[in-house]
Amino acid sequence: MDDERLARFEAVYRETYGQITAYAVRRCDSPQDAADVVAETFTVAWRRMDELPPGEEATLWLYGVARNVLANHNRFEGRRKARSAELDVRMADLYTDSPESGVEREAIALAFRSLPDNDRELLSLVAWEGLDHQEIATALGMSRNLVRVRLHRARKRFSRALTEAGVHSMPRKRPAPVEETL
Amino acid sequence: MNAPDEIDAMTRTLARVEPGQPGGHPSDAEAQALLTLITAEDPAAAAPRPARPRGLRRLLLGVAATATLAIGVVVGPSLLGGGPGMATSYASLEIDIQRVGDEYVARIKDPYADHERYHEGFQALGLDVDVRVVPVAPSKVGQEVTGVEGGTRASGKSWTSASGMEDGAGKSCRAGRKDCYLVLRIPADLTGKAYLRLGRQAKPGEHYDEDGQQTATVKGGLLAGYRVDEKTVGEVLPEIARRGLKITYLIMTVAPGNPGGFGTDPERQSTPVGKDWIVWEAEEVASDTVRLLVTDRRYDRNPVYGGPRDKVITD
Repeated sequence: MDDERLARFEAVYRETYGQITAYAVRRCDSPQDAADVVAETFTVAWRRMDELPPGEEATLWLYGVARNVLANHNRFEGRRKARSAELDVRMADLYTDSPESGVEREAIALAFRSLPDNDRELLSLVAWEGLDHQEIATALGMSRNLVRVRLHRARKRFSRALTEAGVHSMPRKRPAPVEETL
Repeated sequence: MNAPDEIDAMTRTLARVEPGQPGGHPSDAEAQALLTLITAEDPAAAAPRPARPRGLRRLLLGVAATATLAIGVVVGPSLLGGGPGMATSYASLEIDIQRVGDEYVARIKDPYADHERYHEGFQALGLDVDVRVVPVAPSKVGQEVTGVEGGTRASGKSWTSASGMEDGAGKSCRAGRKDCYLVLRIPADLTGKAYLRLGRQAKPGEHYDEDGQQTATVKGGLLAGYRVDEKTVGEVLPEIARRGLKITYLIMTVAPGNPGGFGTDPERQSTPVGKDWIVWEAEEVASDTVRLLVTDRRYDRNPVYGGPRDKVITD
């Protein structure tokens, strides 16, 4: 085994594990799916170490990989359900409803869910992972301008969906936005 | 429209793991175990696609404990939007590709052809798709044994269509029947290079692809009606011989503490397996061969299933 390769992978793993697990848990319906996505993402990274960019771009590259893994995962979901239904049921209680989830937040969630997949991902990368336009462009392999335009449209659609759902203001009890640097 | 900041703040409230917070820590036991399993594979030796550690999902269930909010934000398949495009098609002895709506539907006519022939077909339509067709167990014929890697859609949408065995009318069919082909669907707006592997029917005795195997002890399997889990190698050999099957072994690497899941260390695979070794499951690796997943000692729980087999497989 190539020691240098291993050392580099371990360093990237340590650096990004928290972010990639958060990314997966925020997007997956079940802990099993999240676990699958994390495992598969890092497995792909180990296999494709040669393509892994240095420094902070590694995280963005991994987000891109995770996004692909997640898309594949969703396509296979029907197939997997049959195999792991038992396990899914057993683990469901780990994702139990938070007592904090009020009516208003549920309405926001519904409006969010009504958006196209692409809109949700852009909004999420900004709000959940704290990425800026350039970082999203790098992660998704798009131009920065395209990110800007699409994000604008996504926000517009989300705003419209929120209005239709009768949500006009922020639910309280949430800390102020923190700009996360990666 | 609400201000962008407000929109983002709304989105932020939906995060199951709060923004800025990690989903887990690399020093956690399950994170360490995952790292051990992933890096136990030799990525060079098993190119282009090494077997991936199995059972990893069970290792990582700890990430769930970090859940802070639980509104289900489903990232599901989205419908393909309409869009203008040139109707194009490609036909060769090996593959037919036709544009149908927003997709290209590829029908693999000769599953034994050189993969370059398929690649040429896609390239003729401006798509860089590398498809490898590999032998798999009967239950996995027509499936993607490796999902799509690389390639993004210009629209940014997910790649939603799956592959399968289909007849001329697009209905699913059994491999080997007349007019039944391996069909793959590619979004027409795909950019970049995409790589995937599809399963085809194996010839008698032909070894299945590493990702195209199936459990032998389930209904319809080569060892249907016979359980091997938690028995010794010596105990299960007679029944396998009675069924006229050949045997190979996979020596499992279990992470410290046996958190569930296992890896394979290529360097350990030539170790002679003793009759007192423990069998945790059997897989079909060819139509006439089973592979026993073994360890040289007994563990407190089945690493393949992260607990008793009955909790996962019910038949």
